[in-house]
Amino acid sequence: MINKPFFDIVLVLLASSSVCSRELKLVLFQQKRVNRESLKLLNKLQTSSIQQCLPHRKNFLLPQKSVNPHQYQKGQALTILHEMLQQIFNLFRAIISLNGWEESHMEKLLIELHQQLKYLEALMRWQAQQKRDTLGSENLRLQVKIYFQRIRDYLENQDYSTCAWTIVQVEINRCLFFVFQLTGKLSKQGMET
Amino acid sequence: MVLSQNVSAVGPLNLYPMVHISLMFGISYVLPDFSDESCTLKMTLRNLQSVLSWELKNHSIVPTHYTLWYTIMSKQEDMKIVGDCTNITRSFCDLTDVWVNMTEMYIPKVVGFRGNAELVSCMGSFFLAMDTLPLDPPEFEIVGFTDHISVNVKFQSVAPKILNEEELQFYLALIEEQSGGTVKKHKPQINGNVTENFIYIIDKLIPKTNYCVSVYFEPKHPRKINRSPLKCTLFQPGWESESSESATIGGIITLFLVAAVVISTVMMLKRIGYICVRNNFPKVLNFNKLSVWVFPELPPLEKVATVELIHINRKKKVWNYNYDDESDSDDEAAPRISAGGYTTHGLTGRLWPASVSSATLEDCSDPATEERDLPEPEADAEALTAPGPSPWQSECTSRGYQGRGNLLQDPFSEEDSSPTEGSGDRIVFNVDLNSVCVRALEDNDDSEVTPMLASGPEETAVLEDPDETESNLLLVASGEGTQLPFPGPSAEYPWPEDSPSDESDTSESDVDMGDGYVMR
Repeated sequence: MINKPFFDIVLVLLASSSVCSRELKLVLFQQKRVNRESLKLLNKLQTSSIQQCLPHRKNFLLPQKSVNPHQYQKGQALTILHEMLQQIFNLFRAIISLNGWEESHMEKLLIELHQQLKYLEALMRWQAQQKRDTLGSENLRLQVKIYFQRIRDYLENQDYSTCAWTIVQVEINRCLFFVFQLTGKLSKQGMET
Repeated sequence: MVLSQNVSAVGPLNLYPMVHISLMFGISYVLPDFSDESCTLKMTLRNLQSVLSWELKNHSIVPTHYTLWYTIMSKQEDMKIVGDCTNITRSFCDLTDVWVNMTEMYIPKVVGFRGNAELVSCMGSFFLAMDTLPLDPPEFEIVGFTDHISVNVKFQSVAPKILNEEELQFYLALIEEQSGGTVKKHKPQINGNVTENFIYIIDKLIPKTNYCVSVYFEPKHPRKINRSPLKCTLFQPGWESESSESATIGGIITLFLVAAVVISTVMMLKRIGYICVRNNFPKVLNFNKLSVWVFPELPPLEKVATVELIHINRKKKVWNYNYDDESDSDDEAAPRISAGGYTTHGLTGRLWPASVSSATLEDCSDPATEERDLPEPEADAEALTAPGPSPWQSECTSRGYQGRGNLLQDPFSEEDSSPTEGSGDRIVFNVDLNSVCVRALEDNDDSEVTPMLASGPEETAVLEDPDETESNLLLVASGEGTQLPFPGPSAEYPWPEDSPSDESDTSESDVDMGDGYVMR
């Protein structure tokens, strides 16, 4: 007869993988909601205002290698995701407190971001229990931190002007697109394992 | 480029360049409206191609040609002209190979000219990754056959760079018009790039039903879906048999698969030990055999020996103080009339191979044999074998007998028995001599007593209630099943007819229980 502990291990693995895949599906679904809210915020920007702010454009040097979903392991992707969303959350929270722009839409976006962060933190805790490989993620996290620091510096230099905020909103939407791609890749990897 | 710089610098904060523009072009507009109000810019995916189209709101202004520029928001770049869309008369431009970066926000600008004069200018902003760009459905044709409908979808030869196949799902919607608008979706699997024509077969259709087909793309990113116009065909009759045959075959295959899955699951569970657990109980705990309960087998008893009793009819002798051995042979036994009216018979036993018979030796006889005995007062003894325990024997009460054996024939008769003829009268007993008493016959009494056979560890058997009158019975049994040498009763057993007085003395020398019974 097959040992009973073997069955216990199999059941735990199946349960873990099902929990993980469920969490990943939640992350993916929630990311869609985040992107949708962010796009709503962006669409509120008038094209004229965008065109007016063309001279204020700045290259923030988004670390595209860092956000390339094809080069990550599962543990690294989670770290990058969490860091990016955390930075975006902090940035929007700072903007809404300073200027009070679009409070209702901004609050909604912050709520969705907060929920997404919760899902990601749960996944990271599970990953820490599984002792998954997270080597090399700190360097990527640092690159993301530096990127967002440039954005904050730009806003400060522009005195948090309307155009500066418009430029930053456009940049954040670029980030969210990468985050969405990364989330999709992570979800696919999680369901395959 | 001066024009692009001036255009990009338009705004209420930049009055000087505006004035400059108006002086250069001779168009007097203080604040040119470069919003999308003068024209409507629209981005669509037509047959997997990124197409930017525009429409002037003021139809009175009709430019002769258009030119398209664009820039991006991620960095400071000048407006770039689209080479394929320079001085074009059409109002759309294919940007499939131009706008390839999904993460960029593109800022297009369309300028309408009449001659060299700029009539109108439109700008817009498109974030391709997030914008809800509707996808135009591809071209397709449907062909109805006898048993299926073939849908031939025509894709463009050049795959659009702007679309990722993983983000695009091609749907083929099947609509049954006659069945009340039931829509069935098909998701054809498209491997590789969407470049070649794609043929999809729709089968398992209901005969005599009009089917309409529509195809469309559904991207993973939220986009509007444009469905193609319906194309319908009537499913011709005559497909019923094939469809029913295929349905039958499919059903049979499904049943086999289900049965295989169930059987494999059961076998796996049985092998693991979750079901059909084997009970290795001892045999004594096995209560499955009903016959054990109904007809409990009596435990095997002591081995008994089969004894053949030879009825010997003996003549009554008158004591004449003559010790000659005159009359009786070894096989004779003279019947004696006992005090109780029973006729005793002196029977010689013959050793048989011991048989394990577990019959109770009781002074009861088979009713059948009793019946036989009654009409036969002559008491013809018949040699009977004891095949084994019989119910009537078990039910018979023992009258002091402790041994076991099979008394198959009542050797006693209530009448004076005449001596029987010859040695053909035999009675076979299976007697456990451990617990029977055998009475030795004695001639000095009214009853003849046959002496006991004492041969080693064999037991003697009491065949008669000691209260009853004595009977002659000689039993020879082997307790271990071996055939003991039995040279003859005359050799070992002192016959009463030979020397009655000696027999009585012999019997007395043995363990005399009284009434002439000897028990070992």
